[in-house]
Amino acid sequence: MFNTMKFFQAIGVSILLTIVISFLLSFIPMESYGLFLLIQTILTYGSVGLFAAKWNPETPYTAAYLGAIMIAFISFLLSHFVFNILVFADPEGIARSLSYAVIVSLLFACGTDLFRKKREGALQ
Amino acid sequence: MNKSFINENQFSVDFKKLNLLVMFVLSFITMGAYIGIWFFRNRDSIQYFAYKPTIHFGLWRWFTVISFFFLFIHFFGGLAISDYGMANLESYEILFNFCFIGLLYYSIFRLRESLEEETDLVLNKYLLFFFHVFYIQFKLNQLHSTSKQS
Repeated sequence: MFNTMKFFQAIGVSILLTIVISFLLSFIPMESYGLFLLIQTILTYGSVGLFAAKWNPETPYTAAYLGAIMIAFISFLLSHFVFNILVFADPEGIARSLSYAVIVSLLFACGTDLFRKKREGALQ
Repeated sequence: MNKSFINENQFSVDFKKLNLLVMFVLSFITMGAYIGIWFFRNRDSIQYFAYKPTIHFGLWRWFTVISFFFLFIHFFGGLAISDYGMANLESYEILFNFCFIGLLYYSIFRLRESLEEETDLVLNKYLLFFFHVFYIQFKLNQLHSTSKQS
């Protein structure tokens, strides 16, 4: 069954990891914005996919998928209400960012699942 | 209802038979909102043989109602709502649709687990991924025709 507590823990850990590692990365003088954003995207959605699949072994893909959607939704709300960016006026942008989030998260969940299956096979 | 009835492999009768073409046309017209209705059509038989409560019909009720609401807005919203409002509603619709897909695949794969446990049906996971509800209905129709012949 779907473990809701572990699911929210995975979201929290992924947000914390993003904050800490982005803070550390900001000490490195980086020329391009694009590279920084790419690293952040992979870090956030990759870690939520990894931890959700790791802590929810019965339904790894659902947990990773919903986790990515939750984090993307939180970021939309934050940019709408705190930074006053009108993200909801651009449906294509929302669809694009949700698709990237889901793809990265599911790829990491798939990797975690394969890794676990391989290790269980080696143990037996 | 007694469980011995299931074990004699007769429970497939409980699932209503439905022509795939009709199903396809209905879901095309309603832009996918029909999938929720399909789950409610088979609600009794799903709850009858799935021992664990894996499919949440309370959630499905909300999702069906909201998807019909968005369908209504899609057709008639332009008459009353401004462009900015329509763009906002479209973004909410996209968010909702992503959640709908998540719930759909969760339910479908749990349904597959209990179907494979209870009957001798074998469901291919890749075909299930691409044709979800239609593939399950196709397999159930097959079960119907074989049980009638025997």
